[in-house]
Amino acid sequence: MTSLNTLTADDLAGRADIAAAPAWLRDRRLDAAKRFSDQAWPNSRTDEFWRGTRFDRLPVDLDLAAPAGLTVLLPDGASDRVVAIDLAEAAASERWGALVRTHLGSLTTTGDGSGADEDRTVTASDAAWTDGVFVHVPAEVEVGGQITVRCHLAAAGTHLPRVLVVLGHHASATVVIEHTSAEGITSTLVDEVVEAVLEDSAILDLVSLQEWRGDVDHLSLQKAAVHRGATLRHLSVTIGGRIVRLRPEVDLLGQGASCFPLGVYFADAGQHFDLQPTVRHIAARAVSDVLYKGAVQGKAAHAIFRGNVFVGHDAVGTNTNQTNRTLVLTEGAKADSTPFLEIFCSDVVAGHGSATGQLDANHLYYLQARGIPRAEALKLIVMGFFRDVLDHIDLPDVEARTLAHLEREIEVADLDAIRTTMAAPLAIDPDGRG
Amino acid sequence: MGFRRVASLAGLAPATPTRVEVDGQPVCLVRIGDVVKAIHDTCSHREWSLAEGMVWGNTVECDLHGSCFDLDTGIPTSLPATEPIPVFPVSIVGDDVHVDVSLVLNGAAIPDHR
Amino acid sequence: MSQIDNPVPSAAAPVAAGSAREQQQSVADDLSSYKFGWSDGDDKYAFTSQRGLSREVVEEISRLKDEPKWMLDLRLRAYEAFLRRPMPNWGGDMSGIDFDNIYYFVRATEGQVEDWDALPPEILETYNKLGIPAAEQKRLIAGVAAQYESEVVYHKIRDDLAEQGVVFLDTDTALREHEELFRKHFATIIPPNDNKFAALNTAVWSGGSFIWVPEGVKVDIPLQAYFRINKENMGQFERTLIIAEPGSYIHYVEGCTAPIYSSDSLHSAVVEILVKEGARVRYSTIQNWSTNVYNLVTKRAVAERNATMEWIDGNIGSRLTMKYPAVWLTGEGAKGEVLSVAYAKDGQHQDAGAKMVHVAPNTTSHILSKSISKGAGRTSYRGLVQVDKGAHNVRSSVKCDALMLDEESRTDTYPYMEIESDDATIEHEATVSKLSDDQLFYMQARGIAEDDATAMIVRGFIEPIARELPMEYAVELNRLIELEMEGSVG
Repeated sequence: MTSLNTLTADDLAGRADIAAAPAWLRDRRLDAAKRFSDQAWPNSRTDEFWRGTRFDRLPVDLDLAAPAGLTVLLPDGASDRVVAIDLAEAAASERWGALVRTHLGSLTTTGDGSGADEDRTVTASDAAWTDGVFVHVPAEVEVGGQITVRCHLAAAGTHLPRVLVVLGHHASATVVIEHTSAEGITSTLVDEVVEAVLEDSAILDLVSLQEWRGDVDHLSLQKAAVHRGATLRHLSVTIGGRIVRLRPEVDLLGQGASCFPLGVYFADAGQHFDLQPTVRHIAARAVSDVLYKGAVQGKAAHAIFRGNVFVGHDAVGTNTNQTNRTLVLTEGAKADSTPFLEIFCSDVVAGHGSATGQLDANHLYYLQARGIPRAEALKLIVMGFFRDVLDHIDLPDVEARTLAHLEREIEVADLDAIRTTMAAPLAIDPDGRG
Repeated sequence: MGFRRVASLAGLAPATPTRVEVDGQPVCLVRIGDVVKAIHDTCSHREWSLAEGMVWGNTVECDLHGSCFDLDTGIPTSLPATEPIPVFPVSIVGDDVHVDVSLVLNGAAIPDHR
Repeated sequence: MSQIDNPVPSAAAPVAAGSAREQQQSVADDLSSYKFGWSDGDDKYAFTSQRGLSREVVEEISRLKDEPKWMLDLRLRAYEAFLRRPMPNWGGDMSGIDFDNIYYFVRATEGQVEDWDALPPEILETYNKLGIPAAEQKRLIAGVAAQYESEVVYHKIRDDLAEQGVVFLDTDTALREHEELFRKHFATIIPPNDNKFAALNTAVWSGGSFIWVPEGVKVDIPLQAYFRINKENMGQFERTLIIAEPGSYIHYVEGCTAPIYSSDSLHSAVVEILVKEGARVRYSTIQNWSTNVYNLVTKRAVAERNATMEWIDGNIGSRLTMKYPAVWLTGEGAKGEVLSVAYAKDGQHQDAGAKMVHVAPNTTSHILSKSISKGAGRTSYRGLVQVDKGAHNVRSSVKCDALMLDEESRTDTYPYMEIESDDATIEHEATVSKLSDDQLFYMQARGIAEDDATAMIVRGFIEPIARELPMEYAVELNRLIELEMEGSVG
């Protein structure tokens, strides 16, 4: 049995899918395996970015099982303009092999901008990813509707899904990655890497829905390279999973690039969400605006927001903002917020704001005074809290799905246990900034 | 729940903390002379094992930030810890050392850092 | 005659757990057989002055001060902890610290004056421009804050304090004259193994202030290091302990705005403050060490029921400062405040901020940080707001503003918020900006030179904090800013 903990180059050499891969891919995987064996697992005491999540809580000894089961669906009429196929197949194909070769691993291994990723969990994916999807929207193609990547787990164990999305210049598309699992699945670790490349002036809406059932642990690096004038809107909706550590990262590599990392999260008893949106302003005049809103309820529910914004020396004219708001609904739940800023260039406009608190008692009273029962009123306020993030999502299906999750969360909430305060500024946002 | 045998008295070096697991709880054993004391093995300040630290007099020091916990009262003698940790009864029969984690002598709560 | 056999392991080298543990255990064994009293001194041996740190150096420091055995034991325990602990892997660049090349033991204050000839000319120039007379300049070198020129005034203040029952001594003397009180509180707020540099300080500390304010006594004038009996005021490893009994008030001022040249490249102070029920303590610091100094400080206060602790922290000098004044709010109704100003120019890194730990319910905290980076200077705000379980109804607000003056300037913000209570209201806001071209243009159009305009903007930027300082400091600070903005100094 092979697990992440015992992974070696020999295991990889012995895998049929790897043996059948083109030489360049095989070599890269084996190089990654070599790097992997030289690295150590993250240490929460010494590694700043793992401060919030104890690595030793993650089950790295689970069997590297059956493939994750990735499928991809295209909207009607798109199949003749957009490529959405199995990643291994694409890598081996004559038509797409070169493109995959250029971009696969460019953001984790080789890459300009921020270069290689040092995290062993990412190297594991570079070496041993099991199931993959390649989505390519050629230059100037605008895809209406949503491209759906389904990551559905039917079996326990360790899964290593890999997604590569490439948009040519002036292309636009929406890609939604749904993470779900069958009833009763536990003891599962998903170590996922998503890479997205946006060429000049491309527009991508990338959504990652964490809708796991049961005790699934999920590590995911979702990294994008955004070139000149291109725009990325990334939304993460984190509702399910036991330990979920998500890294939506963006390298703003071309002048005038922009990114809008959005997040909605709701942690219940025993859930641990560690969300780390990261933006690197490398080129000049780029814009970034991080907006993450969430709630925690129940015993040992824990949400961590870790925003990292780096503004490089040449990133003149940068405009960046980070906002995080978390509602702590019941006793025993915990919220951490760490919005970081590192600035190497003075010609910037930068800010961040973070607030943690409870529902506004005044607001609740107002609604109840108008005859709305407490349960309904609480629901309205919580939905109101998330409203502005949802307003930024231009995708009706995703919005509806997210709303449904939030409603369900509130329904299972112990409404009597929800605390309110006379002093909270969170429910209504006076400056309209969220 | 009840007393469980956790160690041999002869095998416990004096003033040296030893970590054992009892009914799912991590416990730090410290032998002082011929007496053995048992305290919950997690610092109340941050999640860290006390057995990694030193014993000073009747206290065990958390090696992470230096708070010392009194082995009888479980109370920290300095910051940064502010909360006491559970102290458990120990019974020694011959060479066998027993600890009962179902009985918390000082009424302290088990630290929960999750 | 004993000899120093082995070279001191460099602080960064890992120490084998087994051997370190054995050494430490022997210290621990000594402690467990401790008796209240003085050291025997029957193992005296000749000791030659040398650089570097070793067990013998620690013992010698304690012997020279004629300390009780419990203090020696604590120093040795801290020394072992210092060796054991790794260097922090965060914060500034400490790779330039050469632990083996530093003098750790007490040196006469007069020795500092001899450095007069080695003084960098810019410092002299600054003194002259600030209008500090030559006699005062020499005292600054000696490390004495020159705030009052009259000996008469000095004596009057000391008499007033004595009348009120306030104890204000240097730490060495306090240990001798108030041993029980000292022992009760020393290292209870910052234990010997809290962090690497607190461990170092606990091992080799010398000098610093000890203040005890009796119940209900409110001291009107800010106390400054200058008023201590012993003139050793600006040591490398100062240890300060302040205890404010219930209902009392004290304002203590450390440092001064004029740049202090120090040949000592490592300054690692520890300040512990206990603010008891209903008392209030304000601790103001302006640090302006020369730019060869690593300034790594641990400052922590405990605020009990309805107590108030205020830190006013100004960081202007040093090559690297790492300092996060902290308040542990352990009593209901306690309040903590930190006002922090940091200024960094070429070759400087100010890594500063604050920590607020809400242990008890109904506590509030407020942090205001203003930082300015000029040239290639780097300022970093690093802070923590922690709300423990059971700390109900906590309110905290943090505001960090950074001003970047030049293209090469650098600034960072690292705020940590860790909330374990469901009814805390925590707010944090940060902004980063450069000098507004519009503002500058407006002023220049009105005939104000660019340097002056910049100075005005910077003064306005830090005004909310500067106005909390004692008048002389505020004036000095403003003059210093003028100089700095001129670009001809430093």
